[in-house]
Amino acid sequence: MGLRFGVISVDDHVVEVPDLWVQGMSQAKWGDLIPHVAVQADGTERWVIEGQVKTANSLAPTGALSKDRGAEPQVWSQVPQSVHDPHARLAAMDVDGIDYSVLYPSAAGISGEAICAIKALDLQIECARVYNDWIIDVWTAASSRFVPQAILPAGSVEAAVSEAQRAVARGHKGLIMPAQPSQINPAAPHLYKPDWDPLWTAIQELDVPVCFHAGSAPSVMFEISPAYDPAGARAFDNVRQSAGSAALINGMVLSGILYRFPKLQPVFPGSAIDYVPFALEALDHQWERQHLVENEGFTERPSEIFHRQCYVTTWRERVGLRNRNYVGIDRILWESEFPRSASTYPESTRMIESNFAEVPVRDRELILCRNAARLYKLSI
Amino acid sequence: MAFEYKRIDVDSHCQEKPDAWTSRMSKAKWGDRIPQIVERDGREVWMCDGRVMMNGWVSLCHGVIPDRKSLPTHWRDVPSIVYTADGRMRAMDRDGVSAQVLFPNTAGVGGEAFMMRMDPELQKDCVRAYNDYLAEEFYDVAPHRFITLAELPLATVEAAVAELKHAANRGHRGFLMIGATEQYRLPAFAERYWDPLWATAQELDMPVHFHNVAGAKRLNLGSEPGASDMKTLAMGSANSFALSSQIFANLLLGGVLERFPKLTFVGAESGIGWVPYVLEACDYEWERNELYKNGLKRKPSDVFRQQCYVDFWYEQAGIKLRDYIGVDRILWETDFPHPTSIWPAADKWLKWSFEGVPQEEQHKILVENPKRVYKL
Repeated sequence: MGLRFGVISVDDHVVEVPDLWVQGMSQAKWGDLIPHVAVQADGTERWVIEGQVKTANSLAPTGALSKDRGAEPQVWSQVPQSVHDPHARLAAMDVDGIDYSVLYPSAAGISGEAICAIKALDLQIECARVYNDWIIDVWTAASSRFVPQAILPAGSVEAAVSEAQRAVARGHKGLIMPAQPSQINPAAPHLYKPDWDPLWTAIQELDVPVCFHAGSAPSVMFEISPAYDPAGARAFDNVRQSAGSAALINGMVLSGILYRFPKLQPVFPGSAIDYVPFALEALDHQWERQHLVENEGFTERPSEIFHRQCYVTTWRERVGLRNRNYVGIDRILWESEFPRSASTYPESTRMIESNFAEVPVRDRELILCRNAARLYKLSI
Repeated sequence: MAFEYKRIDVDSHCQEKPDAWTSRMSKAKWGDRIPQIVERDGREVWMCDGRVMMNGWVSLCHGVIPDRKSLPTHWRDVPSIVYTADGRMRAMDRDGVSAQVLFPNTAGVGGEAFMMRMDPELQKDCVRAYNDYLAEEFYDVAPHRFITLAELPLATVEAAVAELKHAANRGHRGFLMIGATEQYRLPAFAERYWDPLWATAQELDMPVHFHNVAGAKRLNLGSEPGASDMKTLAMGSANSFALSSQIFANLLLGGVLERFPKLTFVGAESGIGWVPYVLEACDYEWERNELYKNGLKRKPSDVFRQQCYVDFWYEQAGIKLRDYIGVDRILWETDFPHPTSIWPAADKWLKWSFEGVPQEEQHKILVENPKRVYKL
């Protein structure tokens, strides 16, 4: 193996630069609808997308880089370079012992949902394209250690199909979908409806994974009470997000999508693995109890479908790794989630040593790099 | 001689009889708002205060219907083993169950039926009738075989505290709580509003129960529109632990257990395999965000192992992690007579789950732990 550290992080986030969309789009055509950063009355800077100020969203979610893992920059001049500049990022990866980093967005939404929410479809499509081109032209161009993934204009099935094809032709190695497009954009069909079949068909043919980031399904997550202090709220937020992934794994199986598309490879970044053995037992139990062979034509057990097609990720778990054979040793990927507050940065090496202390080398290599290299076709 | 317990089933559902409320509430005061069965579009449904209950089913009892699918549309077709004390004891005998904990059906499987926006006085009376019904028809008939849990009128914390005291006097051994109070326009667990209830529960030693999914209805990435009932049921059940895990994370991080160190919380129909996720994730965040500086002195996993219980009915992988969860924190259930129930095949499922588990640990899970929780 030619890797320096033997570690691939399958879930990290770039932070989009303020002029990303302004530079790439026609001011004459779109004016202020173009996503941009604007100073607010209180002096903070916030993203403004299709005229909507994203007050609830951080300018740059970079908790892992702050002293208390919470404080985030309120103006662009305070944003650390390693989150938006590929060269500075490579240095941070070297410090933390990461060979390859699979990229997700921030301002565009952790799963592209801020772009999918844009009502004007042509604007939505163009914004997705500009982001996707930036990843290739700036990040991948800087280093092959960045694994590029494209966001999709999921407000429309047709638009998502075209952009998926265009992006993969441009070099993208994975596609990012929000978990609940219909809740983000009323124009989109429910994710589990066959309306999305053209997209699944296209993705299968493109032979790239489709990724549903934890936290992109708000309706499966508890509200965070205002009675929490900021540190407690952050902690609860990070725990609840992975619980949301569990519901999505169930849905991708029980909706029948993975039965109909046996080569579709969904990845659930931020999922965690501790609960997966239980999720599979619960699915198999329900499949049997509700007679889903007869009632739905689901001939294989849900756990077989999972083991054939799905990928989940780990970063903070030790006990979960003890049950790795129930999860499926070739189904587990490792992630750092740089630079968000849940990230293992800058202690990835220490955490890996601690969590994998009882895991044999073969299994450890599969989880830390070989599975990801196979999935994303990376040379190791 | 003391009654010898062989297996204690900590989650079953008691189907309320048609007169459960009508015979205990004042017709003069409430008229047709009292929960009762009425004929509607050729079938019988439960109604309360103008609202259809239990999604329009007259009884949720898939587990005792041969194809587990064709639910009765009229009360006359509901098998009596789900609603009479004698019938239920026969069903228990068939599965080797010595005692069972009774959760509601019509009153909301997670205790949520009367928690919607409702006249607080009506809520109080509905809840009282339910609690008295359970006491009279089950606890009084066979106190060593039926463990009853109360519902509380949560519209005000004062009413909830008063009913909890009444319930404790009437033989109830715990109570139901909804899991996502915000959905019912009630204060969150992290707020001090509920402290009088937690304090009373701690004083009376009444464990708090979150029954899957503890009324958290909107929190569900459900089936697509038009999906079949069977698929929707499967999806709902499979997803439920995503909610249970958030309820427990919210408790552990919200500070309730820290402030009430003798209060016990039980997750019913919770499953156990997901618990390591909550404990590892909460411990990780507790350490990373230095929550011990913000009043959470004990590590979340330690708090769980001192104050929480969870149960299982069909798992194997989760049982293999029992030492990490805590063998003392695990209970067993059948979920009789619900769709996911293992009745009448408890032997088969226990054999599967307990493969390689030493006898004394099996005994803890089936007998000693529930005896401790319910003080049998």
